Amino acid sequence: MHQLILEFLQVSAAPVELSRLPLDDGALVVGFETGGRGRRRAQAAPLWVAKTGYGPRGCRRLRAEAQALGQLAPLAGTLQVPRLLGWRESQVEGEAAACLIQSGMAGSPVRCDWLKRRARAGLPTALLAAGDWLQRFQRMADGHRLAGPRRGLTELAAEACARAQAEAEDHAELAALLMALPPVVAEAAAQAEPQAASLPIHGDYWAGNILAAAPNPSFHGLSVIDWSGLGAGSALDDILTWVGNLGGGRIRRSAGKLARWQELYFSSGPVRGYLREWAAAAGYADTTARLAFYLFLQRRLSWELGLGLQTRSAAESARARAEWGGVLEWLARRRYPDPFLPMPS
Amino acid sequence: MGLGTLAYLGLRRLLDRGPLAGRLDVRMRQVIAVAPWRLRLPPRLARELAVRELGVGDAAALSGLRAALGMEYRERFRQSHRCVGAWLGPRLVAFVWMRRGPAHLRASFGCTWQISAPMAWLYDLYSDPQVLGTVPHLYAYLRQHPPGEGLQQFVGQTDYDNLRSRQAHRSLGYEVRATLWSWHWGRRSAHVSRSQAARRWRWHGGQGLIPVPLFAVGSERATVATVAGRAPELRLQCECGRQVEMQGERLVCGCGRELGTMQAGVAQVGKPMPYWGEIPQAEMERVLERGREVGWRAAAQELLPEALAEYVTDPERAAFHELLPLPANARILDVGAGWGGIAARLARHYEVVALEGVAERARWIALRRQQEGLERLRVLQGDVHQTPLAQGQFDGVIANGIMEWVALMDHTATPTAVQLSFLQRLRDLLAPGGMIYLAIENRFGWAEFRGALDHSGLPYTSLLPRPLARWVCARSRSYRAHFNVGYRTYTHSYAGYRDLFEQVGLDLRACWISPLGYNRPEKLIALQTAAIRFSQRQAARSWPRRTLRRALGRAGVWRRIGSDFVFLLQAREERGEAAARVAASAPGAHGS
Repeated sequence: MHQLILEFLQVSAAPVELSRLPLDDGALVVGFETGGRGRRRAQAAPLWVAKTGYGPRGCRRLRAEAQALGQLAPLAGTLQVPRLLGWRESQVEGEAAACLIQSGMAGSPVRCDWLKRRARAGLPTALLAAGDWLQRFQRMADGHRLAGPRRGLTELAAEACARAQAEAEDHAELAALLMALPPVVAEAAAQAEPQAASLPIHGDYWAGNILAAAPNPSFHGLSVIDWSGLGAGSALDDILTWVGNLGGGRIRRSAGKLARWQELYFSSGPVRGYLREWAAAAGYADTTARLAFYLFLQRRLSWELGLGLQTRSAAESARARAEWGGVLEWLARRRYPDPFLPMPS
Repeated sequence: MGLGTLAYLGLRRLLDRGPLAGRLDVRMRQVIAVAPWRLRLPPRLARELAVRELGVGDAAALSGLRAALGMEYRERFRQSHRCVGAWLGPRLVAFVWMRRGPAHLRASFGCTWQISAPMAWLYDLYSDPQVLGTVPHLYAYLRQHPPGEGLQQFVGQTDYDNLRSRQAHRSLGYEVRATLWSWHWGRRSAHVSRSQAARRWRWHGGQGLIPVPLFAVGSERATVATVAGRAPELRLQCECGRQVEMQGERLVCGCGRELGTMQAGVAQVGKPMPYWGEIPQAEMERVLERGREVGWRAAAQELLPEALAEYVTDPERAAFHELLPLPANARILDVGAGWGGIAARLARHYEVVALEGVAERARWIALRRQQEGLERLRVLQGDVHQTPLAQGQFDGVIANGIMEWVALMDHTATPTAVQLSFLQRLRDLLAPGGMIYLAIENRFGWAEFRGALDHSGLPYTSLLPRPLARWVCARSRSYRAHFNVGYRTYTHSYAGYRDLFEQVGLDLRACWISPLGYNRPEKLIALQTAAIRFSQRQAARSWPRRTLRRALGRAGVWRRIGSDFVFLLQAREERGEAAARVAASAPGAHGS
């Protein structure tokens, strides 16, 4: 047992029952209150959740999350995000090990299956509730300057291009994929409004990280976990991630993304209308929204190829390579269209 | 305000203004604690308020806010008490004092509470009444500073009369840990206390020390205290009672008896066990030889069948160690270590002794030890009953998939009796506060109903009545059934295991279900409905599956048909023994 968890158990007022679930490069150790019966107890949130990470990548991910939770502490009650209870890094037999303990959050991941609902009129409640939560988060987090001082989107674009260049040099086999978008991003940045500023973003805002206490969630019933990706981005970054992953984990890491994304981003429909509303609310002109979209794609590409903080198995990386090859080819054939405007015929 | 509070205030009013005023005084006080996960932090003031540590230089500001009660502020700083204050611009608006170690609080009416808590004690909390909402920010600061060592829990005391203080703490989400009623009649006084741990009232006739046990006795804290300072060497003991020593390559007792030898990194003690395993003996020898040439991992991947190679090289075999409440210097015995997957991984975290009966496997573990440079792993070849391990020397004993097989090695008694004797032996090897990790199948597990092969090599035999299972095994041509003469590999239901533990004097500390099987312990779910539901957070997509999963996701159902059980057991101690140990481990504790 990690020393931090052991110390935490020693000062626990009451006995705690533990569970262990596997994580990339580590594990999730969850503490539940012991004893008790009945429906309320069955639905009780865990008392705390400890994440352990091993190796440089696992530690880096937990360190990022610990820093993010520390920054989010003043907003934790209002936004329903976990509180950081403990954090420690150590060495076990020469291997880096880290442990982070955070408060447990109630609820289960939101279900929002757009595939089944698309024929119906209107947008799913979960989509709207998560969007509301995100807007509130952006307002409050920007006020607290969570992701450091504001920067221009063009500056972020330059950073993204430089990062892609560095990643392509480190992973020569992925260079063709990684270097496909930077010219588009640079071109979009040249056309975008110079005054558009960055906002704090969650970084991995998908259904698995959004917990709803009730089957039909409202803003007040949502809590958001896994903050290792907190950073600066465009106002559309998280909402695009969320919309792109409607349907949960199966879409998130599965083939068929291209067809799905075509449907969501590049076809006229309520989702695209919703995204346009978001761009307008953020004060983005069409050119800036296009930059935001391609910045999102560049970040997502790097993440899914396993170059971010998350670990990807060889099979997952191979699948992502094949899938993104298709997406990028499709975009190139259409000269990198603007998702927020009608598709050129 | 609840009915209890109203009744209490009514009683106080009656006593203060009635004929007994000035003669009888009745008061209630509470020890309260705020758990960090329940701390509610209002976002108000978050940006304006600056919270920081105060020092001797701030004594004037402290006195300006409120004159010191009891010890002077400067004196507190001199005695290394810590003070944290909240500033609104240049103005100090709140502060709290803190000191580490057990608290001895002298109450205002002549009795002392002794609270043994391995945590900091907060006292003298003051907040400017004109600036509300500052206290949670002080707590939040204490929780995060110093980084990585912030306080996990806050404990304080409050007068039941002080409604404002109680309300403020309730808004933080506190819980009551102990309650004290005091009666004063002239010079005489009496107290009744009840703590959350004891859950019963205790009468204290006169004045004196009133212990308030904040934490349940027998917690992990006691284990840690037991482990510290023990000799790190493995102790082998001869029948004559003397310690066994190594002389060259021989293990010799002072009485002159030779108990075994040390060969190729393996201490061979006791009678050698005939070879048995997943592959024939000749093949095992070849794997060993190849392992010496190209390394154990490469040899396993090259020569073993794919599934077996994966099992042998699986780095997650000891993933359960993250649930073992044992400190880094704990000494662990892995009984029936097999291919050494668990022992080798555990040796990265603890001092491990791998005990294996089959010579070839013991040599394989020694090979891993040598090639991986596992200094903290020792390999013993022998039987758990015959190996002269001194009693009471291990903080943890691992029995992963062993107990169901032990009856095959001893045909002199019934399988259940042999299993009981095995458990008794493990119990004897435990140091005080030590734990047994026992992983085994559920006799009526879901996998068994679905036709998984039982230890007889046949499906469904565990579900049959024992005589019928014996009859089936006697007529089967399966290799395992031939080996398993008379069906002696008993598994039990949850209730059956509890009965066995009860008979041996083992307390069940925790029980997990391992949905992937006990040989893949990366997923261990506590046998509790909330934990089961948590593990099923990723809901199934179709509603019939979701509904079924929800209906079956209950502790009662999993207890009956969960596939594999993993138990964490602790030897039951006599009451006096436990009390003495806890008293010795509690820093600064002394009885009333």
